[in-house]
Amino acid sequence: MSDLEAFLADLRSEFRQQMDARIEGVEHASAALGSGDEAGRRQLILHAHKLSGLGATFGFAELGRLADAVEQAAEAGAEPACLQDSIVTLLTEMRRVASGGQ
Amino acid sequence: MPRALEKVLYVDDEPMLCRVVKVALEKVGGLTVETVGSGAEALSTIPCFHPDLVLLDVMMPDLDGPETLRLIRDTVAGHFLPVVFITARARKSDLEYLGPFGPAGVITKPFEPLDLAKRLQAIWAGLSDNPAADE
Repeated sequence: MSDLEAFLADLRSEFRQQMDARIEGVEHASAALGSGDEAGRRQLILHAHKLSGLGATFGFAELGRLADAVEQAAEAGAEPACLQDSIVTLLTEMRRVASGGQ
Repeated sequence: MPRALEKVLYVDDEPMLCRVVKVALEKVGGLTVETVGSGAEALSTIPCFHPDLVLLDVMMPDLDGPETLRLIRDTVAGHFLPVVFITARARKSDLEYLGPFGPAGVITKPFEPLDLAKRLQAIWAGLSDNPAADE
């Protein structure tokens, strides 16, 4: 394994370890949006956007795909109730990755 | 003759991606890389670091990529500075939206860290008519 590959493997592991904080961020933004705070939508889009880019870069393709779906739906102005299922699915995948799933 | 690409400023509010890009460009590409976490920091860093090229994330809180590029263009140090957008949004409409801001190129996420330096060098090589790339 090259130095760069070893570095990326370490970062991938760190990404998993940081997942709890990212889960909290998505939950917080989702709750805010659900209570009618549109600033929560912007936060949800930003969280999902980061997860989409990082997930795909670190080889968590499903996580990246689910985050991208949430980002696109939120940005398209989907009602909070309509976003709920895709947010729950994303959070489930985030917890799976955090617990060591590939 | 265009000079070689040596110094890159990477702008992204995601610290992990900053670390990936810095190591990828330095280890693989032999470049000198400075990273900052916001458009405002980019504006203050450019006159001191004197990058050859700025790699700029599109979606950031506060100043986003396009607005940061507009402000860079308003500065003496950044007027002709090549700026490459990096974005996870690769739909045709997204790329069409970015075009009028005048980036030197657009790199889409996810990117392969081992290939990133090569992609930046290809964009740099295409800038031979750009005053910022000639010396």
